[in-house]
Amino acid sequence: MKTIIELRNVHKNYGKIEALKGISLSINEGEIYGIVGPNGSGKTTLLRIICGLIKPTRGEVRVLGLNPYVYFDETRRYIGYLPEEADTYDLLSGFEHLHLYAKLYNLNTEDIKYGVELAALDNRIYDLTRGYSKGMKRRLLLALVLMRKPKVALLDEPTAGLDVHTSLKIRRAIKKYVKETGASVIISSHNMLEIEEVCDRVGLIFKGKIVAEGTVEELLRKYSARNLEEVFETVTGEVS
Amino acid sequence: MKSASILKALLWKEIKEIKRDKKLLLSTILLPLISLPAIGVLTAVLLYYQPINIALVNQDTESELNKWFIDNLYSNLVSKGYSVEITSDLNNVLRNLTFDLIIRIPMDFTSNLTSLDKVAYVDIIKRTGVSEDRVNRAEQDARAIISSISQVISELKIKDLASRAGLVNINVESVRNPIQVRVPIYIAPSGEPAKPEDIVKPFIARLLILSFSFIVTPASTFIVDGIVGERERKTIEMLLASPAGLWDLLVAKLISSSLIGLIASLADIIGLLFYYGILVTALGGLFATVLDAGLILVHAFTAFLTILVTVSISLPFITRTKGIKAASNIASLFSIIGLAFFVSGWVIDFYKLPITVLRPLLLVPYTHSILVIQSYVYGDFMTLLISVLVLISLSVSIMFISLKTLDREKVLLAG
Repeated sequence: MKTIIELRNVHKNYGKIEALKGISLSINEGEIYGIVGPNGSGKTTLLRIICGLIKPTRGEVRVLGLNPYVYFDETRRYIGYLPEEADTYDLLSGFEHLHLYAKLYNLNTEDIKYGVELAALDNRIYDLTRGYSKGMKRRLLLALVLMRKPKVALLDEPTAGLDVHTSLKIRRAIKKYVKETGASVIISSHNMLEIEEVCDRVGLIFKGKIVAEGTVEELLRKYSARNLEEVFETVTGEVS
Repeated sequence: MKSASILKALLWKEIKEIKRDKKLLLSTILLPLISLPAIGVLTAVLLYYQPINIALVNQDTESELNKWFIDNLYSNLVSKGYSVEITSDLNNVLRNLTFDLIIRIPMDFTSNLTSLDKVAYVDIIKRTGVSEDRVNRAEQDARAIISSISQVISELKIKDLASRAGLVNINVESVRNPIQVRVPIYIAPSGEPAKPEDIVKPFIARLLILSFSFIVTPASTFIVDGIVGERERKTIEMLLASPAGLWDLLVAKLISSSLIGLIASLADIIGLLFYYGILVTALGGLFATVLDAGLILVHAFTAFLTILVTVSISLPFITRTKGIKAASNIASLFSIIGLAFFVSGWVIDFYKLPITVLRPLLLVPYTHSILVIQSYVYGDFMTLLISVLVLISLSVSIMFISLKTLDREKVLLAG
């Protein structure tokens, strides 16, 4: 299986704070990889580095063979990124958001139609987003990321703060997207149930380090746990 | 080509947001449209309701001539809008704070007035702490009225002397004022006789310079909101991750905030022209003649460049600041510098400053904004062109340096 994302000994310091302490991982084509960890463990920093938004202090990052920070422009058409706390422009409609991002990525009307379908907002897509609920905004933002069918989708807490029904819709949309396009997806979350349900492989991140990695079944077996929460408790108990 | 279409898309987004932000548009247009004429109207109204109080203290003995003089002086002052009270008690008037100007007619006034070897003096007493401008105007008016009464008396005296000497052909003025200065003629900067609108135009130019301070502030606020606000509203990260480069993002912000300033400047000039149009009409000119298309164009373009240079200078600081408050403080600092220059430009003719004084001021971009407007009024198009070019090159070079020193990480993780 082809490796799409590869990180080797990646470190990131913010002044004296070490946000990442030597992360190494590789993600294959068509794989959904879950990064699980508590707040401040380095999940967002890791996704920003893979996206090319920030530069690692040291270590090597490759996305489809290219360093995303150095080859930022070249990697844009392959990488889709949904930040954790992303929001919409209040004075633009959902459709105008799709139109704006279609222009930025040089997409056609078919792509916008696909975006409308992904957002699943019916006629509300033409309303200004200041009237949208949190769930509607999140679906729209996910559509903005996926409508251009990126080979790599980085989704930071895609369902954080959403109700069960909306979270379910988003998880299904992600699964459907991977099935249709064969893209590689990294989902960061502290919702263990979500990760268990969606991801093929999981990496547990704690204090800037990947402390455990494998399929959900492998991790449950290795740590004799009933769920990922128990795995996490055992692992972080060991290292802290 | 790719960058142009991205910039176009980002500008489309910015303009959509501006068009739909009714509060921003209303405040941007209405603030200058109302404030500048309002300053003039308010001042006029307050002056009308706060006249200068003059005390006419008559200490001379009662006579026909004294009564004639006092009546004449009183009615002329009242007709000019002053509040006048006649009294003989000087001490009471001196202690009464309501009197801003006191005209004292001394005891021997009439006898000196009718003599041929003495001068009849009138004393003028001004109270400190009263608006210098208003009290000086009252003094000038009083002097002019007394001078015209003096002329009537001197004419009678000269005619009396001439008749005693047996002279028949006599021109009173040739004896009284053998050398005279004619009424001044106003000329335009071109050297041609000035029309009423030419006299008003420099005043308009001065107020237009002052008006830059009204447009720099909303534009600075807009750029702060555009960059720091976008970060706080969590909309910037997805844009930074898109093919839109930092250059496209910031240039779109610069252009849109300058556009806001341009709208404000147009509102400024419409308000001012309307106000001065009425003034010119009152002076007997034609309203339409105030509508100088060149001045409107020069003002709008200079306003655009002034804002561009302001936001370019504040850009490297704003992009590195985390919160809106800190960024607003930085933007305010530049607005205050602008305000200091534009208020100076309202009262000082930068165009006529000695080069030794002007040279260090030329280092501040706002000096060039002032020079553009003032050199237009003086018809010096070479200075105008140089100042415009300086503003353009300063904006572009500062913007270029700002963008070169920034990267996505700094913008994303500012503070």
